[in-house]
Amino acid sequence: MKIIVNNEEVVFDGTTVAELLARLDVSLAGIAVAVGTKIVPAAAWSGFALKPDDNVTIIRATQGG
Amino acid sequence: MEQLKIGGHTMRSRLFVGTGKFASNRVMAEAVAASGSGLVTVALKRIDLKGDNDDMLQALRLPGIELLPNTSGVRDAGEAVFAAQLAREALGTDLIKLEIHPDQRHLMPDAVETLKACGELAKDGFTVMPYIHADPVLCKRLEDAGAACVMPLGAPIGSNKGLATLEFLRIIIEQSNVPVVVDAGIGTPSQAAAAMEMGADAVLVNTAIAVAGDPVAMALAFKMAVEAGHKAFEAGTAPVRESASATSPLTSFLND
Repeated sequence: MKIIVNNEEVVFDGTTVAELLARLDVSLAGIAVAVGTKIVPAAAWSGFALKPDDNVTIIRATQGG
Repeated sequence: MEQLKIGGHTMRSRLFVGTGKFASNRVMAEAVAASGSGLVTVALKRIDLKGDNDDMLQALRLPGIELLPNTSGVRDAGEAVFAAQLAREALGTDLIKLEIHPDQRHLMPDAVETLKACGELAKDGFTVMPYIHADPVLCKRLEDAGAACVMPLGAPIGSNKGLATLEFLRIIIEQSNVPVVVDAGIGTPSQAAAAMEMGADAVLVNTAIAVAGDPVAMALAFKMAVEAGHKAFEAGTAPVRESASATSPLTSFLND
């Protein structure tokens, strides 16, 4: 299916947030994930099923004041 | 020296530092260590799907350092609440520096959206640290909305113009029931000391340290200035007088 991750289109043949993170090869320390405007806690990544056209936000900390 | 508390968090120093604009993560970490600060701000970014190897959190894993995520980049209260929730999830902290400044040129904080977001975040259990203009009325409104402290600006972010809002900071400090952290615009250690002497509970410094010729030495200079200013406030400064007041005996001893 096709989903949007951080404003980029991603084609993804898995189901869950955990599978998406593995597919994107993201380092998991210090990140947070939201689907739409709903925060998906780390404990729920493996159980949260994504749907086509879902809008996923993945953030981490960076330099700033 | 009494330790500063913000919400349930005890601060080991009254100097908070930001992590923006440093030449490298190594210099940033050394400057943070030299500053003695226990509270260090970070921003949030969307990860880059083409490769994401920012090791700044690794560099900040120093004993006694708490991270203070900010909401920089949001345009309104709704986005600020979302950013704060992401920050809490990513960093495991209830601390949030609430900053909403949609105006890119002057980075002036939006009072209306900030007040709205502050109330929502406080209800959601956050320790809210709002960055705002030096507006004494707004500060009281934020206090009522559940802010854990207020963070009025001295001058525009990164301008190094010092305490341009001095007279309003004085009123805010006099009226506040929550800690007052002077944020933004502090360009030199003497300005940080001046803020502390007048009774600010803490200051937040980023640009003045990060872009200094020697950021590590400047971080130490700010540490000393903040300690000196706070010590002077606690000691009680001598009154200003309109005429001279002799410090030596005025009895003449050469001729009577």
